[in-house]
Order: sequence, then structure tokens, then C-alpha cells
Amino acid sequence: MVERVVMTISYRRLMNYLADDMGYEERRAKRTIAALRRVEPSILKAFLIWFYTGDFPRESLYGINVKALCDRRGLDPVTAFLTVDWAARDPQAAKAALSRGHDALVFSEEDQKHFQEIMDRNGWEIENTEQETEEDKSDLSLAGKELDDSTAREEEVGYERGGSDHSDERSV
Amino acid sequence: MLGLIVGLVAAAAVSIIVADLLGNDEIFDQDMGQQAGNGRISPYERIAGLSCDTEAAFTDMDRSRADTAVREMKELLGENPVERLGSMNARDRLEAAKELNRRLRTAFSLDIGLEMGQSDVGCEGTYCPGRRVLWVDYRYLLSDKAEYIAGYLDTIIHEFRHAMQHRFIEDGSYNGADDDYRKRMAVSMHPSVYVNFDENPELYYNQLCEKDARAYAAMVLQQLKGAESNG
Repeated sequence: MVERVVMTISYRRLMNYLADDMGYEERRAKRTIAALRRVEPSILKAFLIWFYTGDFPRESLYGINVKALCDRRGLDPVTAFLTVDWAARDPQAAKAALSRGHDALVFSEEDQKHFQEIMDRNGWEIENTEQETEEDKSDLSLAGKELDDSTAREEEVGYERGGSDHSDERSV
Repeated sequence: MLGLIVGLVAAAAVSIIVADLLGNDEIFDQDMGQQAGNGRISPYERIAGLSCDTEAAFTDMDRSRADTAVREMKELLGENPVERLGSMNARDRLEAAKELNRRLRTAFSLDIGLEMGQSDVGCEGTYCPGRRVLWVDYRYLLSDKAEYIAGYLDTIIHEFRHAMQHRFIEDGSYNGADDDYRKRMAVSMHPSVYVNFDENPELYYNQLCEKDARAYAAMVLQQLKGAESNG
């Protein structure tokens, strides 16, 4: 058996997509890419298929219909796939959290200054632990195995298909 | 300052809602949540500001206020508030919600407003620190499903708890919280740190300010249920 990379996406292409197409701030984009590197391989595969073809998994993934999660909870597909990874790691907690509604803190324009004043008054600081290690900018790859000699085939990344896929974007 | 209910077209148009507001049957397989996890480590281990590993902690004053809130809810809605609300027509439920908000403002010693509206993506409530206003999706209050009405009460207490968090990070004497917990809460709620649900549900769920608010609401609702059981 020979291991062979069958699906991949460059860091730069993914970062550009998250920042330019999805409007992610830098912190969120970096956090997302770092998390995608660590998701269950089957989830990474489903994400890459969606990225290149626009197709969501027809079957549920770890008990979750990804498209319905996007539609009913207002999640973008990238976030939805990361959420499925949560369900893979901790199904009970994910189900408990996702099966009920959520809430939000809504900040007004002055709140950044207001909260910072509270921090300064008390001598508190925000630790920035995420930037302590150097960011991994390598490609995200999914290693596959040859099936056997008669059926072995290599899937090409980014094949053209109709719909909102990203295969027509120039590779970087 | 009086609570203010906005976002309704007309009182005459308000009615009991039978819709499935969350769509869980569309999202989840029936047996989802019953399997074991895959044992992989969370990819979000080094985010100190969210204090995901810090447990929720309540002071004696927090618990005392929770007791008062339960008492107010029982006085207004009886021994079984969910059942009582469920028996009301839509207009009476909204009036009850307005009165409940007024009583809870007293119970929690917080002067915050109430607004209502709708969200199609499962957002049941919000708290705005700058405006000191909480917002709720009124359809859960007006639902024909007891679980949604219970969810409304849970959301109200949850949002009040965010207002309490805001209060005690401003002034620790509000509830006697220790400085370390106040600091962690202030960082967790900071606009540059807080993670919205649609940004990352897992981090949203586990960050301290949300974990604390959820636990506080659960404590109040459990006390209420206990009162229902004994009533």
C-alpha cells in the first residue's frame, strides 16, 4: 500500500478565500485554518469536496446534516464543518449546545473603549497566547491510500463543476 | 426607566406560534449525541482570553438574587410558570413578560431595558452592554410548545446574568466576586475577545461569560422546577 496525497489546498488560497470571500478578520482566519489542520480526516475531506465543488455531504456527518446546520443556525459552511468536528470529538456537548438556541453580546461603538477603561482601571491585560507559536503556513492535505492495482486512481484537486465552487480561482 | 417592548407590528396581530423555531429534526440524526467521541484533542487549546477551562462561580449575593428572582417569578406566574404562561393568550403573555422584566430588574438590582423581535437563525436573546438593553425573540414566549416557553424564561435569566457580569466587572461590590474571576470575566466579555455563535459555536459555548450565564440560568430554572415539584 502506498500513501499518496489526493486532496490539498494551499494556505494562501484558503486564507485569501476566508479573508476576501468570507470577510473573516485575520484572527478568525488564522484560528480557522489552524483548526482545519486538526479536524477528523473525513471532515477535512468533506470540507475540501465542498470547497472545490460546492456540494455538501448528502449523508449526515457525525449525526449532523451540514447544509441544514448552515441554514437553520446561520453558519457559513466553513464554520459548519468545524462544528461537525466538535460533534465528532464531543457528541453530547455539541448536541446539547446546538439543539437549543443561542444568544449574543451585542457591542455598540463605544463598548471597545468602555471595556478597555474597565481593564485599565483595574490593571488587567488581555493575554495573547495564540500568537506565541509561529503560524503553520503549509498546505492542508488529505493523505489517501491506493485502493488496489485494478481500481487505483488519483483524484485531481479542483475539478470543474457547476455551482458555487472555487475551482476556477487561480491557484497560488 | 420603564422596560420597552418593541418590534411588534400591532398587538392585534400577535398570536400563539406553532412553528418549529429550531429545526432540530432537520439538523440532527435521531441518535446523534449518543455515540462516544473520537478522543481527539480540541484545536482551540491556547486561547487564554476565553477562559474555557474556568468553571462558573457564583457568590452568596448571586445566589441570594437568584432566590429573589425565583420568588418574583412564582409570585407573578404561580408554582408552574411555564404551564401558567402556556395557558395565557398571546397578549397576556406579553404583558406578563413586561411585568416579569420589571420584577427581575428589582431582583437583580439592574436598570436594563427589554426589547423583542425575531431571529431566523436560532438567536433567542442578546444583551447590549453599551445600551444596557436585553433583546429576546418573543416567538419562544408565544409558542404552543412548553419547551420553548421554558427556553424563553431561561433566556431572560441568561441575559440578565450577562447584565450582572457587566455590573460586577465594573464594580466588584455588586456581588462580591473575587478579582481573578472579575478579570477573567472582563476579558471574556471584551469586544476584541468575545466569540459569537456564528463565528465558532464551540468557542462561543465554552467561553467563560457564556458558560457562567448558562449555569446561572440553569440554577434559577432548577430552583423554579423544584418549587413546581413541591407545589
